[in-house]
Amino acid sequence: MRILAPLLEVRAVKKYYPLGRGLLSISKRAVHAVDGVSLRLETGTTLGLVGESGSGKTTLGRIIVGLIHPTEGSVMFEGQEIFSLRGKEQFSLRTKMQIIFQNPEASLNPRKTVRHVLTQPFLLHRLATRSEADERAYHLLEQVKLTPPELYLDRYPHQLSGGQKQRVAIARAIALGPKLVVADEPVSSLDMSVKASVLKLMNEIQSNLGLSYFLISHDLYMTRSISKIVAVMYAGRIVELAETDELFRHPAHPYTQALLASTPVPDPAIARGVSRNVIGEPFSPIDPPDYCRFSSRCPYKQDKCLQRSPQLEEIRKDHWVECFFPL
Amino acid sequence: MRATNWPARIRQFWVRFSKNHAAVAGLVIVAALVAVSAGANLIRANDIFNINPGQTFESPSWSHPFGTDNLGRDMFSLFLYAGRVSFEVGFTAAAVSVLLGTLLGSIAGFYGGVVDDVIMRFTEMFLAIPILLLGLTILIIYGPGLSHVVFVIAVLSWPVTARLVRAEFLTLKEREFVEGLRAVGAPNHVIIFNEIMPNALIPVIINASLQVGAAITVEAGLSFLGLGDPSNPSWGYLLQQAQTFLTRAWWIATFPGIGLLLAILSLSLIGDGLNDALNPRLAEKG
Repeated sequence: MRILAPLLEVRAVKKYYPLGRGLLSISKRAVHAVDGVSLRLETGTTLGLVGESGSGKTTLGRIIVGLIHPTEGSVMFEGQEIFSLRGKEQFSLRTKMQIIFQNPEASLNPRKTVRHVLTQPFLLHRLATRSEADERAYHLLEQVKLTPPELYLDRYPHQLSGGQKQRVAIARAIALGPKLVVADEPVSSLDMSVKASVLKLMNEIQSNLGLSYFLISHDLYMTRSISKIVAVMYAGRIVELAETDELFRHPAHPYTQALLASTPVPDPAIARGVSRNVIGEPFSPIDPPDYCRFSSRCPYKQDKCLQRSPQLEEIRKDHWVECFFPL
Repeated sequence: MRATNWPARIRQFWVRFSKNHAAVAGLVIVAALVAVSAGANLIRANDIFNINPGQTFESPSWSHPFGTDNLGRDMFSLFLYAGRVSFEVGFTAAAVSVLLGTLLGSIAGFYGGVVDDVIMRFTEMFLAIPILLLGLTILIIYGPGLSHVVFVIAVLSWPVTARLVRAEFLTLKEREFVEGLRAVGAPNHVIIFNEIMPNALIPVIINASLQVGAAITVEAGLSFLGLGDPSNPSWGYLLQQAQTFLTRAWWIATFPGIGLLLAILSLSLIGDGLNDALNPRLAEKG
C-alpha cells in the first residue's frame, strides 16, 4: 500500500519525433529523443540529470513540466497524471512546476520590463491585484539578491547582465511558490564566478522554500555539488541512477566512467577509476538499434550486448545500472 | 517608468532617422502634402464642382496657380481635394491591409501546422492574383466608390504583411521566453498579442509606410483606367481626365502627376529611413 505518492514520478516516457511530414508520407522513421525513461523525485531533493548533448535530457525536462507531450508514458505529479489534466486543474498546475532555461538572453522577453515579468504570474492566476503584485515582485527581487529592487524593477533585459537576467528568470520561476523547478543548464552560459553565486542562490532558495530541483546539466562536477541523486542519460535512456556519492565513488556503467574520466577534475583528491577510453560514434538517434545503445562506443562490449537491450537493474541498494556487465 | 523610457527611445529613434536626409525630406514632403490636403477647405473654399464656362483652359496665374481645366474649374483646388482622396485611400487601405496581414500572419506563424498551411495557401492564392485585374473586375461589378477601392487594395495587399509577420513569429515563438510564458500558464492570445507582437512590429511599421505608397499607386492606376469615383476625384482620376488635353493644356496633367510622384517617392524614402532607424541589425553593419 502506498502511503504517499512521490512528488514526481516519470513512467516509461518516450518521445519520438517522426521524420518526414506530409499526407503521403508513410515513413515510420523517427528520432528517438527520449526512449523509455522512468524516474522518481521526492519533495525537497535535487535530482541531477547528466548526459552529452543530444542525449534527450532537455526534451525530458520539457516533458516533466508539461511543455512537450510525450509519445508514450506518463508523468505523475503529486499522484496526478499531468497530461490528463484539463482546464482549471491544468492551469493551476502551472503554479506548482516551473522551468529555468539555459540561455538567459532568450528566456526573457526583450520588450518587457522586469516588473512585467515578475507581476505577470500573479496577475494571470488572479492571485493579486496590480499593487499587490508589484509588492510581490519587489520581494522576489530581494529573494534573488537583486537589491535594491527599485533599481531593477523597471529595467529591460538588455539593461541587465547575464547573471542578473538569470536571477530574474529564477525569480519568475519561484514567483508562484512551485514545488518543482526544472533547471535546464541554469548556469552553463554564465562565467565562473557568476556560476557559483547563482548556484548558491538556488541552494538557498531550495532550503527556504523546500522545493525540488530537476537539474539538467552536462557538467558532472557541478551536478555533484548540488544533487542528492544523479541520473546519467545516454541516447534517450537512463543508463545509471544512484545517490550522488555512490555514483561518483562506484560508477558502474562504462559510459558514466568515461564521462567521469573525461571531465577535468577540480579536486585532485578525487580518485579516478581506471577506465578505458570511449571510442567510436554514438548510434544515430533515428531508429536506434534494439540492442545496447552504448555498444558502438563501449570498450567492454561482448556478444550479448549486440543481441539484446539491457534494462535498468539494481546492482546495489538504490544503485541502478542499465548494463549486462556493470563494472 | 514607461513614461520615462519612451521619450528616450523616441529620441534615439529620431537621432537615427534624421541621419538619413532623404528620409527626412520625404517626411517633410509627405507632411506638407497631407497638411494642405487635409486643410483643403481652409485654403480653397471654392466648390470643386463649380463650372466656370468663362475661364476654361487658363494657364497658371496668381488667381489660379495650377491653371484651370476644360470646365473652368480651379486646378489648385482640385489638386488639394484630390490629394485628400488619394491619401485617404492610401492610409485606410494600408491600415486595413496591415491589420489583416498582421492578424493572419501572427496566427499562422504561431500555431504552425495545419493552421499555417491553410492560411499560407490562402495567402499564396491572393498573391497569385494580378492585382489590377481583380481590382478591375470587382470595380466593374460593384461600381466605382472609395470604399470599394479601399476594399480591393486592402484585400489584395495583406499577403505581403502576412508573410512578413509569419516569418517573424516563426523565429520568435521558438525563443525560450515563450516556453517560460507557457510554463506560468499564459494563454495563447496573451503570448501572441501582448508578448510576441511587440517584437514583431518593427518590420510591420516599415512595411506599413511602403504599403501606403503602394496603395496610392494602385488607386491612381485604377482611377486612370477609368474606375475612379467621379464624385471623389483623386490625383489618378485627375490624370485620367487630363489625358485628352495633354497637348493643349500641360498644367492639367502635370500638377496631379507631380503630386503623385512626390507622395509615392517620399513615402518610400520614409520607409527606407524607418528601416535604417528601427533595424539595429542593419544599422550596425552599415
